Amino acid sequence: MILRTLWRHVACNVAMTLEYRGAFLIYMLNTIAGPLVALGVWLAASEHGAALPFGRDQLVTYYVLLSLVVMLTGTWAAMFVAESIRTGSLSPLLLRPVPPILDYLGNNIGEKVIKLMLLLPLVLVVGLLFRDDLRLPGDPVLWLLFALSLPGAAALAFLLDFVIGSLAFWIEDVNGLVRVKNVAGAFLAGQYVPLALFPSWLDGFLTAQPFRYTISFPLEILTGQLAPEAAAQGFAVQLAYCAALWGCYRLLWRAGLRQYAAAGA
Amino acid sequence: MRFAFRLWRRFAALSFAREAEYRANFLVNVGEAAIQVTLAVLTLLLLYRYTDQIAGWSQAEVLMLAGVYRMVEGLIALQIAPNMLAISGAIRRGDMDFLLLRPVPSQFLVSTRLMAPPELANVLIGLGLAAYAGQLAGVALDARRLAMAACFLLCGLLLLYALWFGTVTLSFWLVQVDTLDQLFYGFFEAARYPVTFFKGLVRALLTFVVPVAFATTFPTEALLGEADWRMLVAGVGLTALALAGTNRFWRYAVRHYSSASS
Repeated sequence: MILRTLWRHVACNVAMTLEYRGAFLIYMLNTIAGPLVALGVWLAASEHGAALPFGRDQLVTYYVLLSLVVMLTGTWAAMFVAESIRTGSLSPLLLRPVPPILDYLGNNIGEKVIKLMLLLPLVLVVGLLFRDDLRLPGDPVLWLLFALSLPGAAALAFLLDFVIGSLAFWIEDVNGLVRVKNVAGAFLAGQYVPLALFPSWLDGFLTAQPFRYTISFPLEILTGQLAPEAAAQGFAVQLAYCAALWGCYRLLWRAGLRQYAAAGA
Repeated sequence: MRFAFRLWRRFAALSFAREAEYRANFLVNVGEAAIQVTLAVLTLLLLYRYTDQIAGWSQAEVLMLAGVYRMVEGLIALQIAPNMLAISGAIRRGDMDFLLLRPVPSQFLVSTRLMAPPELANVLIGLGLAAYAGQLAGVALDARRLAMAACFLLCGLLLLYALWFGTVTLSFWLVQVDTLDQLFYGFFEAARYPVTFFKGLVRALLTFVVPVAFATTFPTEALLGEADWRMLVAGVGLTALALAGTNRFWRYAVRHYSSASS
């Protein structure tokens, strides 16, 4: 029943997003613009003699695929969850026989279906522009691992966002917190600079923090930066984070709903 | 002109009075601006770990540009963005009628009436970073360089305004242009770095079509004493052209406006 409900939510959101396809196309142009600017800058650095530990082809591959991973692991639930708790618009959702998180999950997946259809052609065009330097791995195992790491990455990002939004049960205004998480998280996830270009004394911290597993990890797999053991370890950490966040979500909602007293509840 | 200035002062005073009701908002803005500038600086530090100069720009010089960028972003968010973001909604809902009725040039009114005072935090942080990095870069400031930088900055801001305003004017015909604002910010991303980092077509695009170069690269070059005065002439010409163009387009659009309420 939960799956069927989720499926209906997704289908409904696909239809709704389709109505705003023009707007979403522009969002996607924007999603691809940031990585391209960064790519241009790092290519300029490498052309002016910077000795990067990252080859030109690795840079191009990373940044061309970056927008795709950023989009697929994107999440925007926190502000909406917080608002529905604050204004009491959560109440009708609570009357349904399925948990409210399904609404937000369905919205997340539904929008991404349309976004993927809009973004893929753009990424293809950019990929063609850089075809001389683009090195996509020929090894199907890498592609399989990449594909496997994406749902985990998206789930981690979504749960983290949802948990922070859920703090609105206790904190009146979580928007500041959400914005800090978004800005700092993007940086630590490798959205601006690949984590491989950070100083090596930060490695321990970078591997331990959750944001790596949202964007950097799938791309590290695909650009062939990870030895098999490191990849296996990465999957384990990703799964552990998801499980821990799932636990947080259950706890927060059980405690939160008990003292939820929004207008009209 | 004096009338316009007096009016603008009134708008500013109103915005500040309104904002004084939401003081916590200001603190959130300061916090966010501080985090953003920290991350921007960290990104540049990462970039310059591997080299001393990129296309003739040292780390201190690029940091200075990052400061100018933050300042420009703050100025846009302070004065330009709130107005641009309000126009298409006003047209859709029919509020534009009330704005057009007032005895003030309508383009001036819709472009200046709103302000977002918390953004001053960004402007000040940017100014601080630019001054600090300028010292690192060993910039000897004199009146001429400052004046030239200010001219470039003004041209850059007005050009970006013209670009955005021209796009927003399309709302008279297209209902949904809110998202075009997003596109504006996408391009503005590129202003974080000197245009000289980019090559050929992209550089030309960022100089003349989406003129972000005038807002950040050229003012910084002027402060460093490396600016080309011919570029300034081109900038002033381009700005005059862009402003005249948007004004004509706006007047044409208003003539074809059939209010949402009538």
